[in-house]
Parts: sequence; structure tokens; C-alpha cells
Amino acid sequence: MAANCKSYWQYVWYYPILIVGLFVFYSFLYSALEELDVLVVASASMAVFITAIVFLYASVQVFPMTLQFGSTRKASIGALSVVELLWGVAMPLVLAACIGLLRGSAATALFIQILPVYIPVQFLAASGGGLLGFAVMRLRKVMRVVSFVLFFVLLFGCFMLFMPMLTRKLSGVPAEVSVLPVIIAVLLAAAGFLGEWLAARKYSV
Amino acid sequence: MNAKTLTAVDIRKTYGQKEVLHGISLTLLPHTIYGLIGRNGAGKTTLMGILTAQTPATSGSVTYGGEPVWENARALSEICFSRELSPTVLMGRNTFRIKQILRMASYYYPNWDKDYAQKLVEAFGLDVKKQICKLSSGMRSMVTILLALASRAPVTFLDEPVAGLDVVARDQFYRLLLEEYERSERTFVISTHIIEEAASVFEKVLFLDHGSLLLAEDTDTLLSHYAYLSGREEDVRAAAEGRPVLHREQMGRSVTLCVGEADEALSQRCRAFDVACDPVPLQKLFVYLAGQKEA
Repeated sequence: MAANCKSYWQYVWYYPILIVGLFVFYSFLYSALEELDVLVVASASMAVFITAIVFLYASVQVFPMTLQFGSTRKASIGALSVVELLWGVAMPLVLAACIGLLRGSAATALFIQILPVYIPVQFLAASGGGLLGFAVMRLRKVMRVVSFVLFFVLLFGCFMLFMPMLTRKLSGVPAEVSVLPVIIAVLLAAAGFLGEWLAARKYSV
Repeated sequence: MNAKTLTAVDIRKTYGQKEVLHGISLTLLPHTIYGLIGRNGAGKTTLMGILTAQTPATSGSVTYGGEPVWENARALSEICFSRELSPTVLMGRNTFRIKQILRMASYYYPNWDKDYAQKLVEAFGLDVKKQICKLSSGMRSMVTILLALASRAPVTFLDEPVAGLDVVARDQFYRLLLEEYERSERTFVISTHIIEEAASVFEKVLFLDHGSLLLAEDTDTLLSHYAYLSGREEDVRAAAEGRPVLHREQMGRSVTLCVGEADEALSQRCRAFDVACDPVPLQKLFVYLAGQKEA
């Protein structure tokens, strides 16, 4: 398990730097507008999309390599799930710290407000990206393209659904409003993790 | 180093409706170099994938030291299957760098020899910062060989390790392989199409044909069972009487036969009939056996 975690981490560790770099760019881009809520939501969206792509590539590139080096499927997919979960928690924290450093405590407070929505969506992106990787590895060419497009449409749609809710949340809408989408995101993320486990079970290198 | 055997019993593999491996059973003994020989599509890579638990078998079992190999971390840590690294993955280029691959390998193989790996990197002249997608076919083969040798895994499989190498590099590989074999008790299973130059390295050969194991025998014993008889047609026919003929070549009045069941009695008859009796190279024998099966 440790060997697998190190292998996945070796592949994904520099992407948070990319996200932070993009965030800094966004921060400067939106600095003139002074619209902190836009910055916060835009940063979270960007981090979610990059997460999906990172784990799509991690499952396609690293998973077969771990098996080739003699890992069991169980240990490799377990490690991928651990890294996905760690990323799901760590990335928002890193972004929160960056926002605090660059835009002050008011921005951090706004960011903390969206965390209950953002973290499940981040999990969804990680598990969905990983699952898509397995779909790409196992399905026929046409289906690969279809699943690829479907996934991004879903992810994009999901985020579009969350955006107004996030904005409402930022403007003081009661917390109960966000419970349903959060449950949906958690369920979809769980389905993603389960799908990865099932797909990994009989994968051939 | 321990001395466990890897045993496969009645391995079958089906892709859709097509069965590609038909009930293969074999035992790989410790400290032996096996040559896995077969035509394209014979099922060599699939068989190696199943023996190393990288491909699930449709039925049958594979055990190492008595323990099942499938999803068994302890058994898998002692088995290395080094196959050519593809320059592309499904989503684009393979962007792994050699140093990343080597680092990953060190996480998995408990006997990984970092110094030896470094020595091989220098011997092959590899730039560890290079990405896999930017390596030539020969260099990718070198990385494959490097991983296999430096893993120091008790059982090591190499799938077409010399396919992309020039003749000098191939010679270097066989030298390194024999050095490693002498200093350790490792078992190597090597699949290759370039049979002739590897024949002297293989202690045992496994002939795979259309998904069936045609032969699994000690190389010298196998070759001693066959002989080329050449001379005048009537003399050769008389000397070869009662022996199975695998191949026949006619040149004017003289003829060359490749016959089976060669033994001392055959040699004596050859001398009596003034017929030349020569050994059959492994590659030729494989061609004849595979051709005979096809016919």
C-alpha cells in the first residue's frame, strides 16, 4: 500500500502547485473587481476541473504501472482512493491558505463558507476522473470518447448546478438549501470510488 | 535466496468466444533459464501475464511456493514481469521519466539493487531524465532489461527483451544475463523471436503453439532427439528408416532430412551408409515443429 501511495503521489504532487499558480493568476485577474465571491467560486471550479483531469491521467498512467511492478489490484486501487481522498481534503485547505494570504481574512471566511459544497464536489471530481480513466482503459474507442464527453458534461452540469447555490450561500442563504446537492455529490463520489474498485478488480495490464 | 517453484495447472484464457490458451500446465524450477518460444499470436505474452497475475486467467491456477499468485502481495514481490514500456498510453504520450520508473521499481521489489541499476544505466548510456515517449525502441528495451536485472526478483520474466536492440546490445544483454544467473539463484523466462543467438543461453525451452504447450524440455536433450541427415537420397532414406521425418530438402541427387528419435543407433547407421549426421539448430527445429503442427 505504501509503495502504491508513493507511486501515485510521485505522479500527482506537482499539480497542486499548478492549481496554486492558477489561483494566484486568478487573484490578480479579479483583484481590480474586488469581487471576492467570484474569485472564490472561480478558484474552486478551476481546482475541481484540474482534479478530474489529474486523476483521469493517474488512473491511466500509474495504475497499470503499479500492477506491472507486482502490486495487487486491491493495494493499488486502495492507494489511489487514499490519494484521492487526501487530495479532496488537502486541496481546499491549500486554496484556503492561499486566499487568506493573498486576499485577507474576509476572503478566507467566504471560502470556508463554500467548503461543505466544495469538498464533496472535489471528491466527486477525483473519483469521477479515476473512474473515467478505467472506462478509457477498458472500453472500446467510440465508448471511450462518449464516456469522456459524458463525464465532462456531467461535471460541468454539476458545477453549474452548484454555482447559483454557492453564490446564494455566499450571500447568506440558510445552510439547509445546500444539503441536497451535497448529498448528491457525496453519492456520486461514492459511486465513482465503487466503480474504480470494480473496474480494477479484473484489469489486465 | 529461496528456491520456490512457480506452477501453473490447466490454464485457460478466453477472449470473448475465442480460447487463446488451451489448458497449459507447467512448472518453472529455481535457478533455470527458460526460453519461451512461439509464433506471433501463440499466446506467449498472455501466458506470462497470467503467470505473473497481471492478466486474469479464465480458469486454472498459478501458485508460487505453494501459494496462489493472484492478488498475493508476498508472492508477487518475488516475481518480476518486465515488458516493453509503451511510448504511448491511452490518453497520449507516456510522460514518465526513466528516473521515475526506477524509483517506482525500488518501492516494489524488496531485492531492488540501486547500485546495480545505476551501473546498468551507465553501461547502457541511458539519460534518466528522458521521458519514455522520447526514447528509441532500443532504449526502451534497455530500460526493460535494466528493470528485470536490477529487480533481483527470484523469478523474472522478460517479454521480447532484445526485439529493439542491435547486435552489440543483444550480446551485452546475454552477457549480463549470464553474469546475473551465475551470481544468483534466479529463474529467468525469456520470450524471443531471435531464437538462434539465444539458444545457447536457454537451459530449457517451452514451445508454445496456437495456445498449447507443444514442448517443455531441456534444450540439450531436445536437440539430441533430432538430427539432420544428408547425402545421396537412397542412402539417407535407408539410414532414416523408421524415424519420423520433420523436414525434407532436395538438391539434385542429394537430400537432407531432419529426423526425430535420433540416438546412437542412428549415428551408427549413418556411418554405415556414409550419410552425414549433424545437429539441428533450435530455430530450425522450432520452424519444423510449428510447421508440422500447422500441416
